[in-house]
Amino acid sequence: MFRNYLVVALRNLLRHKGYSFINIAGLAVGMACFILIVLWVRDELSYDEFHLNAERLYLVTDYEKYADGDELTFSVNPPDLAPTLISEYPEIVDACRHRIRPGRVIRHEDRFFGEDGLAFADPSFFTMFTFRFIEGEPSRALPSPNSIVITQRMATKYFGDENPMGKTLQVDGRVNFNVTGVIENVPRNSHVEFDFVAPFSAAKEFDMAVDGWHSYAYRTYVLLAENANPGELSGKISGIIKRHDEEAIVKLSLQPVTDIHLSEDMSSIYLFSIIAAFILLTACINYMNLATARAGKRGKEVGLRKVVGASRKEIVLQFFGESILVSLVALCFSLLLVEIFLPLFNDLSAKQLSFSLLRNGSVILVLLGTAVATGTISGSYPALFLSALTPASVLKGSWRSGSREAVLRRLLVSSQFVLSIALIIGTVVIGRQIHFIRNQKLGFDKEQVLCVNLKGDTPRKSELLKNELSKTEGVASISAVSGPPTGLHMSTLVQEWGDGQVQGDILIYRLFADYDFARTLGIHMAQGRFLSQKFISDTSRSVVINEAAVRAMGMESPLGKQVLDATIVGVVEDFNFSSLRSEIKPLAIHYRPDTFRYLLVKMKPGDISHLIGSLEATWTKLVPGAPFEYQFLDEKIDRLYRTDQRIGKIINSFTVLALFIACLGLFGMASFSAEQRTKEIGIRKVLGATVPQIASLLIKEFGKWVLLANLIAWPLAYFTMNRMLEVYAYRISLDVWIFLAAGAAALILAVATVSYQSIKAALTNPMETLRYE
Amino acid sequence: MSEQKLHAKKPEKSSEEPSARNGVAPMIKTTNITKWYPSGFGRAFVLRNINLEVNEGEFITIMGPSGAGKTTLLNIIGMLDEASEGEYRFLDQEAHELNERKRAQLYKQHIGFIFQNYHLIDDLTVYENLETPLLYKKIKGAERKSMVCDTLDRFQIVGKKDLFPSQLSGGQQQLVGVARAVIAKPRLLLSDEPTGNLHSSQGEEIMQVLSKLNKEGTTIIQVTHSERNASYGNRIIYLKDGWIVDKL
Repeated sequence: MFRNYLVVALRNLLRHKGYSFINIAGLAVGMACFILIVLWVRDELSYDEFHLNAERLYLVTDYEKYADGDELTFSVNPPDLAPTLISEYPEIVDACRHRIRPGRVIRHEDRFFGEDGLAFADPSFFTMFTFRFIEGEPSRALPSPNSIVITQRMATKYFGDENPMGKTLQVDGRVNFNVTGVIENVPRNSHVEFDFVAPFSAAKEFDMAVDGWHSYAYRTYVLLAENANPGELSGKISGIIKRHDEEAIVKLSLQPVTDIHLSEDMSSIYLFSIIAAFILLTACINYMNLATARAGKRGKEVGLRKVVGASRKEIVLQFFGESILVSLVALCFSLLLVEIFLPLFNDLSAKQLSFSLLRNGSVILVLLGTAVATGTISGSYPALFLSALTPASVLKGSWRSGSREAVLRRLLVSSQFVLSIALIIGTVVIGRQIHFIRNQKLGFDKEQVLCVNLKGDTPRKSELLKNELSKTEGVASISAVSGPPTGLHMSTLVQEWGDGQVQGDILIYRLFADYDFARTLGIHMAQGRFLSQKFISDTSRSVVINEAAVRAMGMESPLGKQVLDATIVGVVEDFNFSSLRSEIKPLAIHYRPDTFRYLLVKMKPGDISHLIGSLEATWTKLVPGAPFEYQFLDEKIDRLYRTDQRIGKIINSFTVLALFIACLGLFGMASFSAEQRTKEIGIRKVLGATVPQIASLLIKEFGKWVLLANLIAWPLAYFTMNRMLEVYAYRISLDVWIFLAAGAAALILAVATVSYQSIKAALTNPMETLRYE
Repeated sequence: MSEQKLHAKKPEKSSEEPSARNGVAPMIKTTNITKWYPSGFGRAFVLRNINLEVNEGEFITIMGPSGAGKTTLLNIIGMLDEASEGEYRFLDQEAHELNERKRAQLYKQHIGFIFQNYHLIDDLTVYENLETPLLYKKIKGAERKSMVCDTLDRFQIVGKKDLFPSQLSGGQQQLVGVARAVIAKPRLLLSDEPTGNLHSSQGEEIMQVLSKLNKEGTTIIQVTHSERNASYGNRIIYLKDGWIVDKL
């Protein structure tokens, strides 16, 4: 019996090569998309699952609401929090503080590198989290204040083939650490990334507070007892900082470690999953459509089989078997496609997904499941509908696949186009938003600016470096700053200003810069003056704020007023110092040379690579132990939107694929329709219809439905896109033309697809088609 | 189909014993079979009060002009279709009272069909077409193989067994159609204008096959327009506008 079905199914596939191609190609592409997205989603969901304690690990997160209505969620806490949590709450088994200090220079003998991956953490870090040790062991990983654990990658980088254990690494030219452990490289699906872990107690050597309740600097993780209730505990610890620091307004809560990675990115998971499902559905619809289109012929077979004794159940099984066979064949092709396109997809998504059937059996099951499900969905219509035919009605010859199927088919084609049009709109909107942001006026001049990292002990020589580098031919000006305007991490809760009374709580971001900052970035003053060398008081007692800060504090004449223990000497026009996702926040700029970590080098137009060469030469002469590392400011700013660009590109590709599948289906439908109407076309031609009239007859038939698809796709896309844009403080408006253009594009594509068949049908000599009747 | 069921009346139980001839119950007995389709506000009648008895071993011909209801009657007898009213007794079973599945089982077991358009499955070879009814009867591999080979032999189409229907002439296709109909050894063979699409010499051949099958004991009911074909049978039933008439 099975063989009989298989034989019929295979001969059907081979006999109708066009249909088979459309079915299999569509399903294969759809499944390949689906597999890629499943791999991606699986990877995203796997973050931090590798810790043995994953279920019980939580991060302490902070929430503040300010007087100006602004809110902030963050996850750094004062050093004293962790010990307090352990001693006061029995539900908390262990806690650890963790902080990365980028911008170090690490040296072993004559090898030295700039490193951004040095973390300081309590020794319990290695017992709470699961990182695999190659040398040393988790429970005694950091026995003394000068021990350090490094990753395998760093072991190779600094020590080559030598055994790293016990070797010395010198950080910033002053603190020596001995390697007491080597761990495997941090898995890619870990929310924390680091290359070195030094004990928390060593943090004070690097100017970090190691006790107290006032400086928020450490991520604080807790390990809960088996039966602890995290929700309840969140409530209990919420006000703990306030108990130790009256002025604090922060509220604490607990976030599962496994949720950290996705806390911002959940929407793209949903978005991609939905797109994957829809693309697969589009391919299924193709199958259904073509199957119903051929129902006439298959209907006869059903009748016959029933006459010779088949029951309905057997017919249903036969059709499901057929569609599952097709989807299994498609699965094989899709695996090939995945194999081919995985590197490209990794490139697009910046992941290192790998795909190996042999390695994980669960994947095989998932794929087979997908194929069977796809086959079942695809086969449902022919199986359930055709099997219900009674032999008498089919065999009499009067039976035809009627208008009910025709309407259904067109509805299905429409729904495919709904998805395609919505995707086109999404692509355009995301593309325009990214373009918009990149060209948005930032309030400063980002072109021709080099960001030079001051690593290791170079910050102490920032003055010297600045003066000497300024002499280089081609340098317009240089400013030393605590951070480039691509996201400032330091902020202070300010409660009093002006005449010194408590005014409310506002959060002011802090930037430390030298006198040339405004000039170097072309930032304009709204009032007063920028910090200047000419005023002795500017070294410590003056501050420049931005217009947002003036508004937040509600000052009418800010000049001369007090804030943050300093006198306001000027107000800069607002400029974006972080991603355009958020509005411009209050900012205060002080002069504090010990915090400078970057030099912003404004270059005159000219030979930039030559200029960078001479800068590097001067640098190496002045600070021979420090690497010369730099980035262009505009590229650094672009990188803020890298995720968005990536999502944009992925959606682009999916749009193309969805359109491809939809057009495949449409092509099949058009050829079926033309075939079915050959007689009608012949008669019309005999009666005097011209070729264009007949072609337009067929085109109209499908055009109508694509237009209908627009009506559904537009609101759908409008709502989705509105939600996507909500994350941006600065965003494009959803203009009508985008929707119209997407609709027109889909229509043109549909017409182009249908035209071939339509014109071919219209050109056929009526003699040929009518002769057979 | 659903409309018919909606309108179908529950037939009254007949208290009459099936009339017996020579002490044997007839194979087929229809009592007041009527078939109509809803049409506009009224009904379009296809069959009216058909009373028919067929004994095992008969070779019956149904004749009549186009639209007289011949095929419908044949389909009702073959249980491919249901009567709107009336009773139908087949091999001592009240067929009109059975549900679709049971009826299907009944015809699957006892009835073979031959069609004017041959109705072979295009994607299957001759061998596979013959095999299909046996598959549905769940006959095991070895036995099935021998049955198919026997039949190929009997109809002298062994050489054609690997060809597809489209590679055969009409007469050959119909021969396969007949072979397929009788392969499972049905007691009743229903044949709807089996020679309608064939030229006369091919038609003759098919009729001889049928006649031979009848002599071997298979009951046959055929629908035909041809007097010549009718002459192979032993009784003719005339249908006109849905009624059984004595003469056309």
